[in-house]
Amino acid sequence: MDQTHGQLDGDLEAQIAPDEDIGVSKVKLEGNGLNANGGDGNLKGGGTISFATVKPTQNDPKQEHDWLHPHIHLWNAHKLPHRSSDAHAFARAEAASWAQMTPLIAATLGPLAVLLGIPSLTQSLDGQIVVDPSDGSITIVDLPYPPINLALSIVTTVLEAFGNLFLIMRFSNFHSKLMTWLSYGFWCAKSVVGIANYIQFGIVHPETDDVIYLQGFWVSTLWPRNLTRHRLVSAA
Amino acid sequence: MSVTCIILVALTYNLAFLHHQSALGTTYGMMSDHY
Repeated sequence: MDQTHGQLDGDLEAQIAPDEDIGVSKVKLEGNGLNANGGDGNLKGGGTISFATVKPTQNDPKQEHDWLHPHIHLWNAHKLPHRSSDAHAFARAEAASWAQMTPLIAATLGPLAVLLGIPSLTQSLDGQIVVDPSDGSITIVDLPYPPINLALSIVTTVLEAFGNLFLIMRFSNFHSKLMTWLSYGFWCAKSVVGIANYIQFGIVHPETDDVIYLQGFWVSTLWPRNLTRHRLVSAA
Repeated sequence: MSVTCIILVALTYNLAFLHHQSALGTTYGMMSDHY
């Protein structure tokens, strides 16, 4: 592959030799901010490229600026790092591929987060274990949803909804970068409020030997319940 | 909360790449081999 790559580069260099294949003797750049370095900001400048004269010319030593390769003199002088290895190109392509996939991952999991937030609002967070002394059967009675935790859960769900909304707008190509930042901010805010909600609930309403957390708590955290089961064992 | 963490990691990666990309002055399809 190195050989093929080198051959392609060699062909490209041959094509841009000033006195062989391309007869452009003078290139005039018009408009604000457009230069041969490329870049998004330059493309937004609205400039145009015009070919002032097109004719076969001889190699002009005074023409130092190569508009196709503006830094070629640095490259030829070995002043730039050589990073065109296959491994580097592969890593760069992999990074670009992930950068394109990650918003799709976020947009896929966003509605799932809202979907999991709804039962955390409608279901009880904890319940009390009631043992019937006559036959030893166990019944779990739902405890009321604390108002402060209900308010925090509502705020969390609203923040999730806004995070999803801005993700949708991002995929609608409406100020993509700004919408991504806004969505990122709302998901961060959702995390902060959600964690504060569970910390407050965990401190005020801890699990005991007769009070356990129910689906309304676990469905939103998606935290393995057996990691906290030792508390029940130690309390018993 | 675990789902939110995955979303945050994904968006962080995306924004970091966009920042790196704008610093290089390239787009997804314009990545020079030399620079």
